[in-house]
Amino acid sequence: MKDDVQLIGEALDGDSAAFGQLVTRYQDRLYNTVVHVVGSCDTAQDVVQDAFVQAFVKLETFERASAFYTWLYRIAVNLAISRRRREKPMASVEQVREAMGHEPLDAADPPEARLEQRERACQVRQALAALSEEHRTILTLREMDDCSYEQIAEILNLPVGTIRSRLHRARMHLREQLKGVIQEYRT
Amino acid sequence: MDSHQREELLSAYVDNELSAEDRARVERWLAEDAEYRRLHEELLSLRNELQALPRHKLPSDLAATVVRRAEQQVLRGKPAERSVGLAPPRASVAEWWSRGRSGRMFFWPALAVAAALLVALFNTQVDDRDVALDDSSLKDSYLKDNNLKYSASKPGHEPAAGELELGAADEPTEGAPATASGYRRDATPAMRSAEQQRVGQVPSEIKSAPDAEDPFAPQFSEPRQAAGAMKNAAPDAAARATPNGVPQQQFFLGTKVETNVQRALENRAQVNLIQCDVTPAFLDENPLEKVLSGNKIAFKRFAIPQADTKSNRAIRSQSELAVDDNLGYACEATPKQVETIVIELEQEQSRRRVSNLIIGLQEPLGALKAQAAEAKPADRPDELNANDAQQPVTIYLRKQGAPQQAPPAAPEQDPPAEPAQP
Repeated sequence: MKDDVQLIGEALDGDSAAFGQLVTRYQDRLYNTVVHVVGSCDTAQDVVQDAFVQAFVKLETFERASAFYTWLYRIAVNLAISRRRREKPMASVEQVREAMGHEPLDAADPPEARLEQRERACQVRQALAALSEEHRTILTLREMDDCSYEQIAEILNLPVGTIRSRLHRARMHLREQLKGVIQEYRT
Repeated sequence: MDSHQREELLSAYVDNELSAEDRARVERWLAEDAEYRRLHEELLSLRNELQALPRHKLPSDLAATVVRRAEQQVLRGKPAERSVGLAPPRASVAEWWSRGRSGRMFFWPALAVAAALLVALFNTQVDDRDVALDDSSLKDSYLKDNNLKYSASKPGHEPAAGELELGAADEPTEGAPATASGYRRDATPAMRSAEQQRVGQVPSEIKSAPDAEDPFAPQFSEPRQAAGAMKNAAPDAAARATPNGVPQQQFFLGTKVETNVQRALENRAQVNLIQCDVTPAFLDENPLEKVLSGNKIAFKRFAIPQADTKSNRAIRSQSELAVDDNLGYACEATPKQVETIVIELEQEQSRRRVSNLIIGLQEPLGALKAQAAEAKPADRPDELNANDAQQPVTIYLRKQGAPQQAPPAAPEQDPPAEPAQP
């Protein structure tokens, strides 16, 4: 399988299909992150698509010092944030549930467990949605996408020290929002 | 070190982002401080909760859509973006057209055919088409035979020659371009005159723009002049033909039709001209109009009588005129909507109800375009997303088996909205 650098080179040489492979490679990962940043599946689909289009059109400006994925993330996060700012924040459980759709749960679990899992996920999502945009974004990058501090710093164009302190504050806010859920988990 | 700093270090500890020295400090505090240990557990719980969220997957592979959209964006020609990611543009655009769908495989030959067809059209007797539908009895007959009606969207509005019916989208969108003139509605007479002088013919009479309240009001005196100008322009265009006989560009009722994609890219042209032959079965059902209506694309249908000689016309019955008429649609659509239209016609092509599908690039003449850009309405924001911008698109449906027709009373083509940088 070709690596990102090879595919980028081919795309720059005019082979659009090579870029298509990059899209296929990263679309789900990017989508899962953007869903949590924007809080809506529909909006996330648009953002991911726009991000890939923008990346393709501006591919020549990509400096290969960083990973393609990090660069792509930066485009997507910027688009997601500006999109989110244009739209109303979601407050209620029902709004969050509707925007995020039904979670793909494990069918092997008993019905009660699935219900509990769904409720729990909804609470966590609602708590995430209630965070400030910068806190939600940084937590998503760290926890959902397992980005390192250095990668997050590159994506958000911030110093690593800022990432560390912002991430801490984001966690403290989320902890406040999810006190009950955390205690339940611990017991 | 205060408690906030200690907590921040703990957060970084959870992320395994500490130096060995800081790590040792945190572990020492964890061993000594029960409250610190509790916070540590809570942070781990938070992580578990977040990571336990079900992962979302896209319902479909975006690759084809992304590549197509990117190509279209480049095709529309954002100057800052044209040179990147798609070098050389000719290769990628050609590949785009040739990949996937059967219609695109024949893009270049089809475009050459289109150019040849347009040249042929310019040399037909274009005056006749106006006269034919100017005759109200013929028009009534056409409407009756085709179960059509006049546009009733505006009380007292009498459709002008060639204008038959507002499509199923009902009310036209404000400012939708559909005049029969090949010039911009908002072009001043001076602009038009300058342009006509440029192409070699100064009209003896220039009418003012049609009723400003009716964006669909056709204007028939100018196309005759313009078409005359095109006759003069055609040899010039032929002289610029490439060695393989494919003309680089042609003129079409005041607009330039690019047959060279590379050149179209440089000139910021866009795909805005769709033409095909259709079977009677297609017209009976007319899936095109369903697509237009279903996608909320404002459109205006207009008739394209055939280019007969006067003697011919004299012996034709009214019903024959109606039966033989071809159809044109002046639409206002976004690039995505244009793609939807093309996909529908391609599907019809596979059902053999559509043939000779041609997708063209058309843009106003340079000088006119430049002036028109200056006259860009203030309510069209520069930051408008190019992907959402509606642009004039013309669709011509020629009945299969019908003889070559006169050029339609071409709806006016506004210059493409300048795509704004995101």
